[in-house]
Amino acid sequence: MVTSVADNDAALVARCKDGDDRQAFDDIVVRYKDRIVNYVRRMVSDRDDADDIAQEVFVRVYAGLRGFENRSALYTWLFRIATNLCIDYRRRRRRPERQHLSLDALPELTACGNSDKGRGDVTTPEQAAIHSELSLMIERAIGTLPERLRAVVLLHDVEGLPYEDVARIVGCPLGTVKSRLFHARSALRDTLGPYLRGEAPQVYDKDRSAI
Amino acid sequence: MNCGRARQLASLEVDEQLSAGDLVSLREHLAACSACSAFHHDVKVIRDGARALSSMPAPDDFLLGVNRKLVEARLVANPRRRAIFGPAIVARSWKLAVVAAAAAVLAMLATHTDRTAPADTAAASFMIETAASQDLTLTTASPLDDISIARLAGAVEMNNERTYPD
Repeated sequence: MVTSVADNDAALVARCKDGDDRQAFDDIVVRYKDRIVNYVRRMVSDRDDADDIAQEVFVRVYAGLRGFENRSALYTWLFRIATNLCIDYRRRRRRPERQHLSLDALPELTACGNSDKGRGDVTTPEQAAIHSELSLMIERAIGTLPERLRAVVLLHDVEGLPYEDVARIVGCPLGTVKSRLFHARSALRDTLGPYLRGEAPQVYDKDRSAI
Repeated sequence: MNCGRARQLASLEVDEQLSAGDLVSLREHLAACSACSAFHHDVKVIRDGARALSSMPAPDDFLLGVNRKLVEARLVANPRRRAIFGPAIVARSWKLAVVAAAAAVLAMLATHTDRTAPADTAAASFMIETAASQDLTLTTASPLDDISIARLAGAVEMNNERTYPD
C-alpha cells in the first residue's frame, strides 16, 4: 500500500501532538524547508531576512501544532503562515518590495542552474543558454509584481499548487485566484514582451503552436 | 467573444481549467486573432518557464536555526544548558536546602539558648558555614558527607545541652 504525502504529514503531526516528539517536528522541517525557503526568498528580496522568515514559519508551526486539525494539508498551512509573515515583513518595512527589471542588463546576465523540474529537453549549449536566460528574466520579472499577484504566481506557477490550495493560502475566493493569476501573467508578458518578441539583445526562439 | 474574455480563457487554458464549450470558443477566437494567439503562446512560455525555475535549497544550518529560535522563544528547553548545568544545579539546590534547614533549626534553638554560652552557638554557626561552603564547591550530586552531618548533629546536641541545663 502506497502512503501518500498527506498521510505521512498527518502521522508526523499526530506524533508531534501526542508525544511531543521533537524528531517528528524535525522531520517536518526537513521535508518542507526547501519549498518554504524558495517561496519566501522570492517573496522577500533580502536573502538573510527571507531565511529568517522561513525559520520563523516553522517556529509558528511548532507553537500552533496542537491546534492544527488536519482539515487542510500541512503544506497549505505552512505556505499560509509564510505568506502572512512575508506580508507582515513588508508592512514593517513600509516600502514596496519590488525589484526593478532592466532589459539593458541582459548582456550581463549569466546562466543560472536549471532545476530538474523543467519540462523542455535542452540539448544544445545555445538552447541551454537561452533557457537559463529566460529563467533569469522570469525570475526578475516576478520580482516586479505587486505582492498579491506575486504570491499567486509563485504558489501556482512556480510551486505548482492547485487553484484551490492557493485560494486557501492567500485567503480569497477561487475566482479571485484565477483573476489575479490572469493579471499577473498579463503583467509578466508586458514586462517580458520585448524579450519574448525578440526585441531584447537575446532572442528566445518562439515555437508557436496551436492549442 | 471579445479579446478580453479570450485572454482570460487563454490563461485558464494553460492550466487546463476550461470546460469543453469554452475550449471550443477559445480555439475559434485564437484561429482568427493573431494578437490573442500570441498572448496565449507567451503566457504558456512564461508559465512553463516559471515552473522550471531553479530551486534554491535551504542553508545547511536551517534546522539548527529553527531549533535555536524555538529555544529563544522558550517553546522548548535548552538541551545543551540542561545537559551541562542541569545536574549541578539540582545537586547544589538539594544541598543548599539541607544546609538552610539545619541553619533554621539552629536559629530556632538559638532563640531559646542560654545567652551566657555564645561560644558554642558561634561554633555551631561556623560549622554550618563550613559545611555550606564545602557544599557549594561540590560539583557532584553526592549529598553532604558524613563528617559534615556529624558536625551538625554534634552542634545541635551541644546547643540542646546548653538550652536545657537542668
